[in-house]
Amino acid sequence: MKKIRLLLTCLIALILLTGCWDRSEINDIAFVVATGVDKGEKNKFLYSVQIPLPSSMGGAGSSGGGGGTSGEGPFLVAQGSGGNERQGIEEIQTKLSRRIYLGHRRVHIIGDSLAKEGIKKSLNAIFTQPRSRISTFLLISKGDAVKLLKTQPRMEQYSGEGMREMSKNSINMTAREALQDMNRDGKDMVIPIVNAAGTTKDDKNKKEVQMESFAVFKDDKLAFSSNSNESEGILWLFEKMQKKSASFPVAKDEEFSVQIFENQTEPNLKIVDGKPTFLLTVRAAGVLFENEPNYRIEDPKTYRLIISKMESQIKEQIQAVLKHAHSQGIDVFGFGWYLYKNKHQVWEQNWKNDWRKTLPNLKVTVKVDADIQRTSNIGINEKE
Amino acid sequence: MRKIKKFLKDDKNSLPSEKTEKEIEADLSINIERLKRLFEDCSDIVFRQIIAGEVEACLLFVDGLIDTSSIQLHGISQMLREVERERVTADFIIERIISVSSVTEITKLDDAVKNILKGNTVLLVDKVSTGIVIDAKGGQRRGVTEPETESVVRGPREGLTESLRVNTALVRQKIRSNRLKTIAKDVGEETKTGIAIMYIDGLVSPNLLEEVQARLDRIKIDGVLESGYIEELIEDNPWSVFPQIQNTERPDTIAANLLEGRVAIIIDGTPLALVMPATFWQFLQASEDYYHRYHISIFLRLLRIIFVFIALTLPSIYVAVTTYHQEMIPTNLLFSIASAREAIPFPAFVEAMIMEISFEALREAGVRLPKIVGQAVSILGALVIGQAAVEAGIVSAPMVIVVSLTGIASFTIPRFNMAISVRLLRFPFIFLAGMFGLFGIVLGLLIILTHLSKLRSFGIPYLSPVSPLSMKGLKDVFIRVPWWSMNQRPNQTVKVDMTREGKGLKPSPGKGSEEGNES
Repeated sequence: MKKIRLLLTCLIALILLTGCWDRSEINDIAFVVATGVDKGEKNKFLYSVQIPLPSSMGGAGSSGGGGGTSGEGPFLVAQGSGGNERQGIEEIQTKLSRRIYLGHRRVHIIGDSLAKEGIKKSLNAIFTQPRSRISTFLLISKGDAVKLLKTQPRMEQYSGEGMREMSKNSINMTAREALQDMNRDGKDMVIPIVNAAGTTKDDKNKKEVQMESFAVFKDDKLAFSSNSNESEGILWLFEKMQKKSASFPVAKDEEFSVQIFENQTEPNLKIVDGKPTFLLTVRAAGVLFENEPNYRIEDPKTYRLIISKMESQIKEQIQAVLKHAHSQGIDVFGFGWYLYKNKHQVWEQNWKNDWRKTLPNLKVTVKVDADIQRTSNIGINEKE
Repeated sequence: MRKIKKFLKDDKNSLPSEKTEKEIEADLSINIERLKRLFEDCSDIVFRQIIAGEVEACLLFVDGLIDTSSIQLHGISQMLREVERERVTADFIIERIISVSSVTEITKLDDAVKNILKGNTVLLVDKVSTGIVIDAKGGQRRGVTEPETESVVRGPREGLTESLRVNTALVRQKIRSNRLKTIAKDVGEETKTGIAIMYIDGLVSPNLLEEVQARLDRIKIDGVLESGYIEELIEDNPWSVFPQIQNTERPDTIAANLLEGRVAIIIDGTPLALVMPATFWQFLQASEDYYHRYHISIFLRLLRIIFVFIALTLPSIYVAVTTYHQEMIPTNLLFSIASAREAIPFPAFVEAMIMEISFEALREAGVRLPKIVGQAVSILGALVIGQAAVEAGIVSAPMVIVVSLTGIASFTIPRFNMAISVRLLRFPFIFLAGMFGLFGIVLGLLIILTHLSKLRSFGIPYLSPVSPLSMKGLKDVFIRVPWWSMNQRPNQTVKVDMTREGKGLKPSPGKGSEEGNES
């Protein structure tokens, strides 16, 4: 009996005294969906967060809904500065009534001026913070990151969601992968670049987000941003061309567009005179979507011509990015990583230390095997 | 605590009972006098005295419980008048005079009382020292109707009634075998409720039968008005929330269980019979599972298992996730929950308790009210709890969805007594979730799982055949294999005669023309 009484007391104490401490209602939390870091004054970071406002997101039962009239979206952007990320957040917290919660951060944007000086610190902050998702997408902004957070894409309620969708369709660069790349021998990161843009040419508001180029890193520092040709080359390299279309000229001012459904890139190593050379086999297959010159592609001759044009364009794009990167000693594809995995001992002994110096002279042959497997509509001439 | 223990402890003092060990005397007047003393102030007991010529006799019965037309009172007195005084003996009367099918002889006065109260008629004749019991029960009883708690789309429409005889007959109609045994017993010192233990000889394990009888014999109670009395008195773990004995209203369910080697107890005065031993899975199976084609049965069984978990844990998971583990909710869903919860003044835990308790109250109100008023309650409840509460900003719309989904989930459990356990356990789960988050839920589930694995029903592990695992038994747990493949009886109950059906029953084109020659 005494035992039971003691046990009961303990049980009641356990229930009444513990628990509920970590309890935090949804109404008391500010869910951060996107964060941005910029270079601030005197070695400080300028930290900014984007927080959607649940009360104006138009859920059932809540008053209001949609804040389109004033031009302000249903979200809040707050900024704070500090020597490290945590300090920045603490400064923001002083301005907010709800607790900042980073568990739902979808994208992390790093300003390009900061990226040029190194992103290791900023990346580290993602990992050290509890409840931070390592599947957060990483982005580099052209100009200040906070500018991107303030954009208001009309398709989404807040730009964080829009940027997440875009990153997913791009090379899918998350914080985890960035960290892996950073710590891998012979592999450098590539992170998509976003910039504010208008939807039309005469749109001066620049409220939308555009993602068209890539930032190529050397270690953790931004080395260069790719041009459009190189961007496509990067997509081919990372096998991310699926569901995107590739256009290539076949005659003067006349182009073919192919929507790609198959994209594989495979490196093959050959060691010549103790030096590695690579054969990069790119396989591409797609559906013909646009046939400007109205060629009959059923004709084997024409088909071969078109395919050769397509292959040479892909080859050229890939080579462009490889050349640019290799000339600066950046291993964008990860040939070094391939050697690390497959010829580990030789890599450790011979190539590892001066890999960046060997890169400009690395011989990479690109072989493209392209295919147009289907056509959509045939041209006007053929419709009789 | 001590008081509760004392209160719950069954009273050891046996109930006072007036037993008349006396024999039936040859003198009718003495017998009648004794009986009249026993039945003092019982206005419904009829002493119908017949003086037919030289013979004096008395018919005793309870008014309203007998079938007067089959006793043929007139015939009896007529015939008694015509025989000589010396030839009147008990055997003579049974053989020559009474034409009712079931007649027995008794010698004890006590037996006479018992039989009268059972609804039989007792004939006492002067100078004969035995009584004659004429079984001509009548009385008003409800007819066989469709079972209301276990209605089916496909399957027999008849349900048990309040009459023990009708009920045993209904089962006998399903199983026309001399191996179907029915042991009769009386329970209840005052009520003398008749019960029948039904089983199939050869299929039932002798230990089980012995155990059932022993437990029934142990019962000393003044009255048994419903099967629930017996259930609580014979179950293995009286403290468990989980039912360890199945009850059913359907004779076909009883028959199916008997064929699987279980024992059924039919109790007079209630349309609910008990079936034992029962396993956890049995409570998630409906009789219709065996009548519909197996595809839908498999689908429904899996659905029910999912929904048992939903009924048990959905509100608590919602509370835990929204108050402790916000990172687990997909971002977009989180924002729609957040915007719905924006105006709600209560924490999620309080919100969940408000909703669950009002939902239970609504259900309870609906059950007790007359059917016509019941509809009004459900409309009111749907309006108040559903719409108005959300619009007034007292509860959030996601919580309404969670609670109603939980309600629907608990209705998918076919057996009402299991549904009750799940309903009750939901509340501790909400508490645990509000206190410890998902850790609490996992803790609760572990406790329940341990309890269930420990639980036994008449010696059969409650979770069998899943734990302890028996691959053969799994044919009829999460899925129901087609009948042509269900070739063995469940091995947790049946030990001897395992084979259920012949070989090669699967229909295929080659077998049709042979007209059943293959065996």
